[in-house]
Amino acid sequence: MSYKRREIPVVITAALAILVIFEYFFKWQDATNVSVRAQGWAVILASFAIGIGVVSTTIFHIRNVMGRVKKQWYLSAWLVFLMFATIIIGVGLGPDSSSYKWMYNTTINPLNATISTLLTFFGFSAAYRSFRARNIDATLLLVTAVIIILYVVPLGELITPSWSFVGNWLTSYPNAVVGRVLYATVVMGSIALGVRIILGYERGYLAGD
Amino acid sequence: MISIDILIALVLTLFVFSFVLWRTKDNLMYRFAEHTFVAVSLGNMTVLAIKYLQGNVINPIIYKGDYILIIVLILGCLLYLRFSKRFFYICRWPLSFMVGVGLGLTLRGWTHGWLFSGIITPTILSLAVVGDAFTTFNNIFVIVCTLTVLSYFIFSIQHKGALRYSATLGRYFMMVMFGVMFSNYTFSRLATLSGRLLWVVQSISSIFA
Amino acid sequence: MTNEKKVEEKSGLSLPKLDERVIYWALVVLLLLPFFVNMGIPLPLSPMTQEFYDYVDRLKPDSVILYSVDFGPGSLPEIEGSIVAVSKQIASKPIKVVIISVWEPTAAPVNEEKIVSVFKAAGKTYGVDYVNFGFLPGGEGAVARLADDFKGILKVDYYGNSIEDLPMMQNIKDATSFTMVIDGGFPSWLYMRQNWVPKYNIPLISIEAAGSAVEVRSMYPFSLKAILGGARAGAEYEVLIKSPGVAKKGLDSVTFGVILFVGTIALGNVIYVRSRRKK
Repeated sequence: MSYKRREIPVVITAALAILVIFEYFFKWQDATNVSVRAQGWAVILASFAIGIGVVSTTIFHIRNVMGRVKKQWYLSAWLVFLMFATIIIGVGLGPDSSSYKWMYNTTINPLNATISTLLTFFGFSAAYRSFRARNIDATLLLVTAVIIILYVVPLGELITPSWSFVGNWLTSYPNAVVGRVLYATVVMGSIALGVRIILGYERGYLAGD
Repeated sequence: MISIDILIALVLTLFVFSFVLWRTKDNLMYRFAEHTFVAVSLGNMTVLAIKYLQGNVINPIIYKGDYILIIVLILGCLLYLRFSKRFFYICRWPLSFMVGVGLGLTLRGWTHGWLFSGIITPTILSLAVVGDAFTTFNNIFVIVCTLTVLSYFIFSIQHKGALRYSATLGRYFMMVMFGVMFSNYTFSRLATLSGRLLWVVQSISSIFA
Repeated sequence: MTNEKKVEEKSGLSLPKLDERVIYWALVVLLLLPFFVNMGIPLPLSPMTQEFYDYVDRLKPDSVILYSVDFGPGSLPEIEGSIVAVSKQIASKPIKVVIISVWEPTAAPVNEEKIVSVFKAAGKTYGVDYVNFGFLPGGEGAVARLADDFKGILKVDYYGNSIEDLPMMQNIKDATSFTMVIDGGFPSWLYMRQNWVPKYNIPLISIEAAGSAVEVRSMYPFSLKAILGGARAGAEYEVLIKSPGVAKKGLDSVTFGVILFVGTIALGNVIYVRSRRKK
């Protein structure tokens, strides 16, 4: 009964995609009702899918703990303990409880903010070591980057008032136009890929056997 | 009086900064902070998902008699069969449900929202605006830039002759755009880092005050 | 060893073998300096910031706006000035606001802390002048559903109140009930742009980090009517609403970081160009 494995999911995908597109362009109340309910159900299924991440993470880290992986097993144990403590406190006491908010403000807030700043340091190291005007392309990129970064902070305007005019023009014209064209190519590629998925030629989204 | 939550947040922040400012490599302090972040983030997302399911699936079934939601409840549970070797294929059904709805939304939004208003409309411009040389120049620039960048992405024929020059010019315009993006992302990261460093200094001074 | 490195070494013009930590600590010191020493760097107003301000200023009394802000704690240092200043401007007007986040789960507590607190301080009444729905999971599907059937997908607010118990939500049905969408964060503006703008023709203005602002610039002024991008725009907005905040000092700090950044690139390239000439 191999059709259960491949064909049924492909038919479900195609049917729902066509329904959602059809409902957008044609006014038919019954189709709209079904489409709106399907969209709501997709949101609910996305919430279920988060649990898969929790299960996968738990299995991976429990294996580290059981196998006593060197320099890792105690961190894995800490991760699993903290994750389930967060879930129990959040579900039991509620995300509005003072305990949950305390845990959130003490860990996620500072760590979220700090981890994202590490890239800044690496960018500076890269600027010192490897940003070279080796050819026309690299020169254009570097010169534009310097002009724009001095335009974004008000330093360029201290050098000459025309700096803001140049910076604004570079942002509004080359940047905006090229951005639009790049979006266009992404959109066209995505539409082509979407049609292939509807027709069943692309099945990569179905997890492998 | 030392505030324990500020102390914990500060310690975790300094653990993350140890990766760049002290050890410049992976170390136990950094990995501890990293594992803490992953644990609480995943736990927080799970709590939000559970709360959403409670409010939008469980409560309507129990209190409002919306029994049709039992179907989506079953579909959501079927997602977890991906951990079973024998019934793995069943998890594709709810997965294809989500993919189908998402695909339909993307295709309809991108076709209606991007192809015309996003790309074609902004490029329909007057090639000559009487009395306004600057706008005329900008309009011609937009059209030339759009066509040259698009020509860069023609991969089905070899870039020879006029196409080669056009594609090269398009590539130069793209380098300008990447320079603009790079400088703005650097600015963003610098702003995030400065805020973070200020918080560290303020926290340390509040502990010793 | 590459040929370029060989040339640099032979010519005696190679980069000093610098421990990366020297650059990192120099960056730390330069970023912190403006917070302790008043730099007084002048700040001209950009036309885009003025345009964003005018869009909000033109809102008629009793307009209902969707304020969809998706900045987590990581983005706060850059964007806090902008969202607080815009919230203050909105709170000063007799308009109704629906606050939500649709992409970033960590944005809901940030919105509570930075946006709701501004409305409370301005004396606004919850449920009558503003409502907070917290985080709505589901990505683009949820945003599309929100546009078509607002109450179909949102049953309770961030605090657990039923949507039917909130007076200002009585007349909200779908996207047509809203006058404007103010979106903050990437890619939530994409969801709004694809599902609210083309179908319902709702004006969309966006608050973005500097990096995302240049990406969304390509959609200005067609589907995105105004953009408030980065810390500089936040500092300018604070000047516009005459309410100084954290953004100006932050901008001065970033200015010093930029000086170091341009300096390191310039130093590296000067040495490179001279070594090429020697060759």
